[in-house]
Amino acid sequence: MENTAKPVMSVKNMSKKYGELEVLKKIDIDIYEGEVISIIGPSGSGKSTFLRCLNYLEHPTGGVIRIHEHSILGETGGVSIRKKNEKEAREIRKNVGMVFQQFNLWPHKTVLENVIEGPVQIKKVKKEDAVKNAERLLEKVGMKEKMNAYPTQLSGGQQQRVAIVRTLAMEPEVILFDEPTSALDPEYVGEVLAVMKELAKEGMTMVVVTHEMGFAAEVADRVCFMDGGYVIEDGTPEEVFKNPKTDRAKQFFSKILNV
Amino acid sequence: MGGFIQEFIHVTEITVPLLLQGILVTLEISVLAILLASVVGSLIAYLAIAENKVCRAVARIYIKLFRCTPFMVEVYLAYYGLPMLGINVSAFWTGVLILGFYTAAYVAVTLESGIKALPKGQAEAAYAIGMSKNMTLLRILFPQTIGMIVPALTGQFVQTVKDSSILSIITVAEMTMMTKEAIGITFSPLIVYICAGLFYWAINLVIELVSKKIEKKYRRFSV
Amino acid sequence: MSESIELVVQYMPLFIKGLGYTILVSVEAILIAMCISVILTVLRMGGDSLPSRSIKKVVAVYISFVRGTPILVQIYIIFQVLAVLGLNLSGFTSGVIALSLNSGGFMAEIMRGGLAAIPRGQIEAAEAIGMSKRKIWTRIILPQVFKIAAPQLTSEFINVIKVSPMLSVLAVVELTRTAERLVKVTGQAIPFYITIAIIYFIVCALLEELVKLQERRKLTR
Repeated sequence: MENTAKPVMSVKNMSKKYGELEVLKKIDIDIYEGEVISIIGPSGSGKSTFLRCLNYLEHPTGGVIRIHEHSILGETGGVSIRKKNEKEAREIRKNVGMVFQQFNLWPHKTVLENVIEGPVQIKKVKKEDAVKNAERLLEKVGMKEKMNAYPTQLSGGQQQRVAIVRTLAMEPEVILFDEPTSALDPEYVGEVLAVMKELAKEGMTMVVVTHEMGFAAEVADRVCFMDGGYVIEDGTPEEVFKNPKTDRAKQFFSKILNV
Repeated sequence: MGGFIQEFIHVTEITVPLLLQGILVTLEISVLAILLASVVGSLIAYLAIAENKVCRAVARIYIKLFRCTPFMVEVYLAYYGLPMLGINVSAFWTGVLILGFYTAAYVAVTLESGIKALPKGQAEAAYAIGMSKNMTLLRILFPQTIGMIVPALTGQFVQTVKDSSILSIITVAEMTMMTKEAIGITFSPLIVYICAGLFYWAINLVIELVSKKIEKKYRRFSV
Repeated sequence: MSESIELVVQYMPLFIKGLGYTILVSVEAILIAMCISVILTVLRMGGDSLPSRSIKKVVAVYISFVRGTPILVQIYIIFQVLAVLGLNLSGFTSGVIALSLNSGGFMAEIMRGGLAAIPRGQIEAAEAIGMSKRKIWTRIILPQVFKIAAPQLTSEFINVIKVSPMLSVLAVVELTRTAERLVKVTGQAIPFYITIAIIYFIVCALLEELVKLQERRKLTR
């Protein structure tokens, strides 16, 4: 994919420190419309932290994240920047959805209530319209019959499909997936990946932190390999998996393939 | 021995009706106090997890003040202090107020720790769709504590019934106060006190039983 | 305002003496309560034989009664029972007995929690090297239970201090009784009750800090 267009989301020189410990270092990534980016790498490499910075669940300590006219700036302890970031983040979050490893459905609300909460409360969509849209989306992932069930009555795979619908209902431009299949029993991984593939096909812009190399190879347009807080490989799946430039990535893949 | 049994029957005949009168007042006060406590306690819990530093400090001070002083001293302070503040209410309502505000501190702590025990992801999922912190608190976190509030309150109720006995020092005619009346007539303090003890015990066993039932019912809400 | 302060300052020595008694009854009560709770805990650990089952029942009823009735009523009952038994005890001694019988019941429940935190394998390991039952209790179980439950035990001490004002009904001149007396003598109430409230607050708040410290230490261990 050649990109002359402007990116949907752009990350410049972002870093994140916890005290003295620097977990993200000078990250530069542009995310283009319709792109599916897989972020892979060993645990502790900063993948999840990076993703969570994108919608300000973690506060970056340096650099800048832009989406449209909104931006999040690195915080170095200034209260004024934090106040401004919090305001910007609320706007950004309306356009950037997130799917969590632990689903995080709200247990006191039914499946339908989970899905319409955002549209009705945040986007001020009329309730009938929100319900109609929710039913359509739930139908798509095969969860319409469970519309009135509570999350605790669902399997992990079902919960994650609902969580994806909850995000879709906000009609985001980008969806961030934070290891969406890692908390699932193996038999449910497939159904969630299938929904994600479908989304990719429809042209949704996605950033996916994952351990599923198969998914990354098959679905992603771009693979970023992270290690020690740096993005050390960034290219098509072909480039990154077949011809990694760094020894670190080569080692990582050889280990995985040997298992 | 026969004499003792006769005396026992005689004393209980006088004592039981008096204590039953007292039980009604005890229960009335406890119910009113627990209602007041659930409203005030929720408010304090809400302040305790608010973003605003001043709100949090107010909640902390409230909780600390009520929890770090003996209830009996608080009762005296209310009894003598309320009239000085221009609040002239009967001993009964003084009792309800102080017992309610005192219990609120404990309710607040239960709720606060309940909210803090919710998985972090619950709030994050709300933030991720653009909810503000206040909205997250009101729509996502607080409703989940409803499941905790009912069992917590019934559990607290046992404590409140027991605490209400202290109101006898400001002449509220609850059960412990009524023991004094019964002793005045029968001159048999031990039997009267044992009767009172058994009555309290019975009430609290019933409450505990009910609270266990309720707890089971509300477990569905837990994550 | 300044008059009130003068009044309080004038009687300060009495308050300090009262605080002394409050601490004395509380410390004595908590120490006896600790022994009672250990006895209750050991009694509760018996096997399934008929006698030990009945003992367990009795202990359960005792704890249920202690937890299910107001301490004020318990204080009255104990005082009367001791009187009927013909023991000519002071209010102070009766009070300490009542408080420790009460607190012992609560502490037994705390110990039950601490006990549950000790892995069964540890006891088996002790049995495996041939330790006697008593040795297992004194060398393996109890030291750990006290360590695990340390914060709750301190909290229980705070509770004892907070219920100790009720001993004023037995004319024990602890802090609250001191204030009650001064109210009668001077006709002033609020300055004295605020004073003792502050004193109780300081003592209990300090002890609460200790609880936090113990909890933190538990986490880092």
